[in-house]
Amino acid sequence: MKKKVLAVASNGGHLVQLLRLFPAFSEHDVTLVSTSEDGPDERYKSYYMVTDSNFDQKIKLLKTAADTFAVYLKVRPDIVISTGAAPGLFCILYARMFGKKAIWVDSIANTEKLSMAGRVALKFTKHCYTQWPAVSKESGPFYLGAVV
Amino acid sequence: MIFLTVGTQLPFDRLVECVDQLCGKYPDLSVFGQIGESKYQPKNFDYQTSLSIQEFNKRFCSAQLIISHAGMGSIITALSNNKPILMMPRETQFAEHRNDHQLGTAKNFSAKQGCFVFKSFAELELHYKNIQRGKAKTSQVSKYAPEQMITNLKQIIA
Repeated sequence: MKKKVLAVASNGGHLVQLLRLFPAFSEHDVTLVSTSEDGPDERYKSYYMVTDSNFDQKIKLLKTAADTFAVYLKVRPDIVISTGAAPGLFCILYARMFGKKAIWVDSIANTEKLSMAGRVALKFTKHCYTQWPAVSKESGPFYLGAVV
Repeated sequence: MIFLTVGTQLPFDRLVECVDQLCGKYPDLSVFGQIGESKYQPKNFDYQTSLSIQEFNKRFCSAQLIISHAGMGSIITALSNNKPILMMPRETQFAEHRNDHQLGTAKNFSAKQGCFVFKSFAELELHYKNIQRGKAKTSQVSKYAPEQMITNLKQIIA
């Protein structure tokens, strides 16, 4: 059955990784959310830009939280998937708040431990994955493979 | 043509200075840089603070060699476009990032063909000379994640 998938990643490495997962949700109804003004390419019919921020920028984080919430309410997805960072984490939290499935794939950059956002995501969703076997634990995060 | 990129988020003066030094020493080198809000202004090559995704892709694809921070965007894009990449990890001791994850990334990806790590001008020059001598084989990486991971994710989404 076709589902509404909200795929979220900050511009740069997070987005590059998310786009590599595209075949996993391409048959669904995908909305892409990122932080660059221009969407990555024509495969993504529905694209929203949200404010970029990191965990050191408290005011900007609030703006990111508000932007992503507005997109979430507009799309009302069945599933959220994110490869990080802040905008993705907010969408994961909203999905759980509405009782929806949320998938966090921690960036392959984190070779020794989960990212800070990943550690928060782990508390809210059982679908929290690392791309390094050494980072995985029996209680999660789980290893699902790597994007490269 | 060499394309230098420091990534989308943060400046990286130490890297920009190393590349400027390389250009100074090898005047025939043609470099274009995306250098962020760098305090260090390059004297020996052309640059911009940031590029649109389209412009970035164009610069990336037309380069023979990528020099970058040890960020995943740069590394994966180099691997999937079959370009050798020289990377310098950002370090918190120089206030270049919020944590030292790029040291781990650099260590793990230096095992891949076509990925080289440097932490100083001398190391950059050494890798550059090796590549000039044709010693860099690149990895063949497809456009998408391996089939197994895609299948696993499909099952979770279904």
